Amino acid sequence: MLLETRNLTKEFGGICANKDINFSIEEGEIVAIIGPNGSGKTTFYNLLTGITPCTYGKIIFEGTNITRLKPEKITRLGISRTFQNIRLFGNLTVAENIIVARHCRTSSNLWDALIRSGKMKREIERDQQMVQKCLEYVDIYDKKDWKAKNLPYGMQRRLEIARALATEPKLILLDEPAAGMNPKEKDELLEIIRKLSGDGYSIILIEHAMRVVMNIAQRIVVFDHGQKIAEGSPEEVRNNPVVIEAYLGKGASANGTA
Amino acid sequence: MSENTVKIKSLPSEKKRKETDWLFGMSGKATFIAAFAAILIFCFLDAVHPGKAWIPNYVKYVAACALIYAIAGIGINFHSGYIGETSLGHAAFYGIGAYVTGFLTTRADMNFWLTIPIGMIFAAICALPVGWAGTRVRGSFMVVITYGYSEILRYIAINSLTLGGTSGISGIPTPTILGVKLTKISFLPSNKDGFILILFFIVAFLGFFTWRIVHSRVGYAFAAIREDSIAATAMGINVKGYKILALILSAVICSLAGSFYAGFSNFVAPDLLSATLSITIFTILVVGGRRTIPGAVLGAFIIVIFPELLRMVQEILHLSFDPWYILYGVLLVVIMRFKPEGIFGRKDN
Amino acid sequence: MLPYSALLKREKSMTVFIQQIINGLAQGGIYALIAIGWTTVFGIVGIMNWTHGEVYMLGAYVGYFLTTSAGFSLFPALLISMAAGAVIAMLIDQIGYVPLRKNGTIVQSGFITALGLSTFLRYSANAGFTASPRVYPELLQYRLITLFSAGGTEITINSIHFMILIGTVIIMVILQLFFSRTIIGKAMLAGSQDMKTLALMGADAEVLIKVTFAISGALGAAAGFFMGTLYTIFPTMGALAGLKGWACAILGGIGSITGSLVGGILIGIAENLTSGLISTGYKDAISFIIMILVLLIRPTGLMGYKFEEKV
Repeated sequence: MLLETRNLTKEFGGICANKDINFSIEEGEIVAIIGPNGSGKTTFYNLLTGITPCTYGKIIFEGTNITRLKPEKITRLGISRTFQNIRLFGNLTVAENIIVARHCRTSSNLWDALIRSGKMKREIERDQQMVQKCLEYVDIYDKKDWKAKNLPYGMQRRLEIARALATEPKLILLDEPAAGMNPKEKDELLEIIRKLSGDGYSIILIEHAMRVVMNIAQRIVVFDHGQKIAEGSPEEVRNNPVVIEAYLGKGASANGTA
Repeated sequence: MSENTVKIKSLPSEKKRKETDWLFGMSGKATFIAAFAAILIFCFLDAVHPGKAWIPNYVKYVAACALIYAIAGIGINFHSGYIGETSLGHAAFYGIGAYVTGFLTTRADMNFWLTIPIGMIFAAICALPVGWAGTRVRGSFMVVITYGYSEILRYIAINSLTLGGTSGISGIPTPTILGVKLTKISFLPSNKDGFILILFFIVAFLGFFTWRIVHSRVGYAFAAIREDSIAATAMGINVKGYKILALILSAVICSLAGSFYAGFSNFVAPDLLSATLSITIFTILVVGGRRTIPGAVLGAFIIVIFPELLRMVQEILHLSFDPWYILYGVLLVVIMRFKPEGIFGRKDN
Repeated sequence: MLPYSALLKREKSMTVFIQQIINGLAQGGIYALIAIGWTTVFGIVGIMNWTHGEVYMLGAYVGYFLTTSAGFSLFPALLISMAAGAVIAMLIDQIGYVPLRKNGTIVQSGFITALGLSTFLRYSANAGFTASPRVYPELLQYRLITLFSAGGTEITINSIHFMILIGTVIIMVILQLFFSRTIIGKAMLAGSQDMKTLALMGADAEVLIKVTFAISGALGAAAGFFMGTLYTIFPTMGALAGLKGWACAILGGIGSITGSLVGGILIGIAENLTSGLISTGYKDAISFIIMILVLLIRPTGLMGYKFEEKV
């Protein structure tokens, strides 16, 4: 078990954004989270990464309780994420975006910076190797001197993945990586996610594009109104009446088709 | 994923940055040498023809003031430049440095140079509450917190008898080196040259210091926080910690400027904590260019030299008011309209 | 003169305390008027309109010239000052902020532009009106109105304070009606929540912004006028008062008009109590102390909305 949540609950002023979520992911697995808008998927990510503290419940990552850890500690332990509404460091170059993400794996301080210590030089060298590795991984190495905000949209999405990768995570949380992409870009994205999985990364994926989800997810978890309403293989979920009801409304499941 | 990828020499982006960071595309070393040469000529020109003053003492006084402000400009750059906040209260830290030096040298007969680190430590401690506030609110609210904080300190200075009340502390001794007063170094043509040379080296060192910090892991963390603090958190950056660090760095450097002001003018008053001075320090940065080192330094020269020129205009035209502040307002509006990144700033296109 | 703290020790301490609160009310009303000017512009345009203190100062000067050279009486002079304040604020918007909105740099550059305009106006006034303080003529006969009297103790309010309080309340009521009853007022309330959506729904953002500045300027000028009836006026009076108005807006909660009123009156009272009970020297510091504490403990103020950034 790589990551597990027990009864994870988040309340915003009396409204449950997430309620009693029991969720788990094995090492090397690709799990997709689907659900209507506002069903608490992104909130769930915010809880996992520690950006918003949970009201109740437990998050266990590789056997350690990370529920109350600060976000930077959680990143260091090996959980990294991308954002639904792209949050790149727009005025920094593509390469610098990666270097920023290396922050949690480096440790040179003000003194090292002032005297350019050997430690810092080694870290810079390693950072630059990672820049090349991560950017080549998503195939935007030739754009490394561009400002991030000048990249075309699809490449910004890929840079988000590269940046998440640069923190050397074990688990990557992708938040609607295919949003706004055209079919060709979606295919390229599928390739990247497959490659990530092949390289041993565990992936949780929030996605609306069913083509992407059904193609690569080994397991699908369905959220509705902040609760987990179903879980299973793509095939099982596709035919689950509860899920169909959540997506299409009451009565839709009576027809028995999806 | 293979570990042994091709060895990369140096990122072109970093090279390009190095060149544009300094003045007129010069490298850091070249900028330093050029500036040093200029300062040497400025200071020693009068030594060539003893008895004839090419550069009036008054001009040297203005230059020394500008260098003190340049230190403050470099200081506020960490907070209002690199971390992307806005502070209208850095006079607080400048004033703290000045008051600590003034108080300790006059009341405790302490050596000037010893009071500098004490002022810095005190400024750092006083920066903590503001820094903590900065982790909770930002933008316009941070503006008023910094402004209010320095106003509160000013009222304390005004109402405190030990700090001399409204009349401040006078008779602060001029700093000495090896027992010789900075104003009385024999081989220097005027009594301001000692200060000018020392201040020049401090500004040069701080410029170097800033540059090293900005191009390090810490500097990238600052940049990330400025661009998007939530994404920075997700990338494992301790946003609160770095925000406080940036404020402390800037407070400590401003305190250094304040200490030198006290030693240079031999006098401190509550005006050093005033909003007017805070706004001056902030506009030094804005006019020169946020997040640039030459901008912080040359911005100080602009903001110090212009009022002096206009004072001359005032005398010539027999104006009953000081035209500088009117023009200063217009200057800010015009810069924001046509070159919002500042005179020496790089455009974020 | 005995310090108030010594007076307090006497038997009439409670009376003095209540009297201090009543004296603070008028000052609080003035702060509230300034605060609303801040908060409406901040809500609609999203910048700290640092020139607001200068509009307040100019309003006070317009009132001064109307009541001295032009010989107007209290009420018409107040109305004309408010109109002048509205025009000045709209001009500030036109000259300072409109180009920035066209450039799309209002968020980054708006504040510093405001800082520049404010410096320009303040020192132009200093040059034009000279730095020497000026005094309004007596527009209203000064007398004490007894509010409460029992057993030889009296709680009084002077007629000028009373006029300011009544004036503030009337302006507030009109403003409240404007926001709840008129289309443009409702649009402004909606705009302070989400300007972009409102513009997408067909509202003319520029008109709304101009109206906002006009209201803000009129209220600022009214505050300046009232201040003139109380104390002397001088070209740099806007700096401190403007910031105190912002402190009141924060205390009450940005975006809330009732909040601004409450915040203004609380700070007005707090200042009067501080100068009465602690020391006059800290009178001006108290509003900043309150403001900082509020921002740290409850950044949304007493009646503000909570904004959360969507991740």
